[in-house]
Amino acid sequence: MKIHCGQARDELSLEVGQDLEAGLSPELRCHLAECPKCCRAWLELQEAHGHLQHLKHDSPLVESPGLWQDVEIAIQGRGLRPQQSSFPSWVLGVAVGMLFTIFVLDSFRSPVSDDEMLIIEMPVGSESSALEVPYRPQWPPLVLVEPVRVNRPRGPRALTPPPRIQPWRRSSGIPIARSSHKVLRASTDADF
Amino acid sequence: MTEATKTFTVSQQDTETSLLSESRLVEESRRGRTAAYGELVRLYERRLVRVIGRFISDAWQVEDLAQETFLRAYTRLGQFDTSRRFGPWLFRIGVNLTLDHLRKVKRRGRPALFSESPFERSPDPSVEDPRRDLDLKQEVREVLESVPEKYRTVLVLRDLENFSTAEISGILDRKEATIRWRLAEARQRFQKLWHKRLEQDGLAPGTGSSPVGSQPPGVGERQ
Repeated sequence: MKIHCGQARDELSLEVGQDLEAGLSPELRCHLAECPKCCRAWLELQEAHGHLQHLKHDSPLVESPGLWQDVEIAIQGRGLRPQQSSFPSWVLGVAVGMLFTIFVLDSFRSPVSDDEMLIIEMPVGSESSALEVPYRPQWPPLVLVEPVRVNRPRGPRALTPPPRIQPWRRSSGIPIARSSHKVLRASTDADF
Repeated sequence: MTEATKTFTVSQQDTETSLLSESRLVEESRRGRTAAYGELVRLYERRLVRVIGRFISDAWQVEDLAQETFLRAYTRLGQFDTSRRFGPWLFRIGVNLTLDHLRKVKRRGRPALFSESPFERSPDPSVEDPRRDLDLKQEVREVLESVPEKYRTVLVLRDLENFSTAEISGILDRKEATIRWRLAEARQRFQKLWHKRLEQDGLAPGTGSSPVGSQPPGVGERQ
């Protein structure tokens, strides 16, 4: 597999400081043998890195800092104390406990009753078929309103029954969830 | 058991002992035993001062920043995770403080990195190009200074302070892959700037004064 110059330079930059675990790969060696530009860059990298190493053995500015005395005086003088973690762990514990309680309570809820079945009617040819879907009550609850009839235009388009305006509405007036809305729109005038 | 395995086991044990000892010292410091924190300070002060000294050349400023680092670390001990090593966490605070200081200095318009060295020689007017008379180290420092901060930091920590890329990722709070990418980029930038400087000085790269102990150019040679 051939590698391009950009990839080769990146790998060479790491290799110059021995940061490539496996050393130079055969592909990279092959590339270096073929690409004089990368070969030159490799030599320059080695030279520049060698110069940088000059600074490595510089004697430190402060030989024996002995900072503790000053630090201790500052701690006592300013009355510093190690602060506790900014995020108290008990908050996390309470949150997990609450979630667990909700989960447990929810699992003990009674199964869906007949009153809570959502009936979806679909026109199939000239007849309609009904599908009953278990429905979990929401808050605020849904209330049944009288179906509203829509005057359909006469003509060839009237062959396809238009969707009936859904008869469900929340008591608070808040529109119901979009998914329920879609399901209810599936029933048509022809079924009534 | 081979010699290498023995060495590895011993060094691993040393690391674990040191980690336990550090976490014990941190726990005691949290309980208000300042002497325990004193031991941590003594353990790390030399290395911390050395690292800060790589960025700032004013010895007084270095000491001030190191002291401030220890104070800040002391007040934040509650946030330290004792299952980890104390060093990288401390160096993170120190490096951040140092970089903040350098940014403030830069905003004020004063020369920053390596430019306040008390050992800096004044240029000799009788010399045609004063830069030629500067020490090679000074030249290297100046080139290093011109590398953008985020690359320079990685370069200094890896190539001058010998931190591993994993340690640097802990200090700078970046992924190790990011650190490796920055390191490669930093070395390339340094090389280009060095090359440019040699060209300005009229020296072709490769003919400049070779550093003592630098490896001769060769493909795939590892020390």
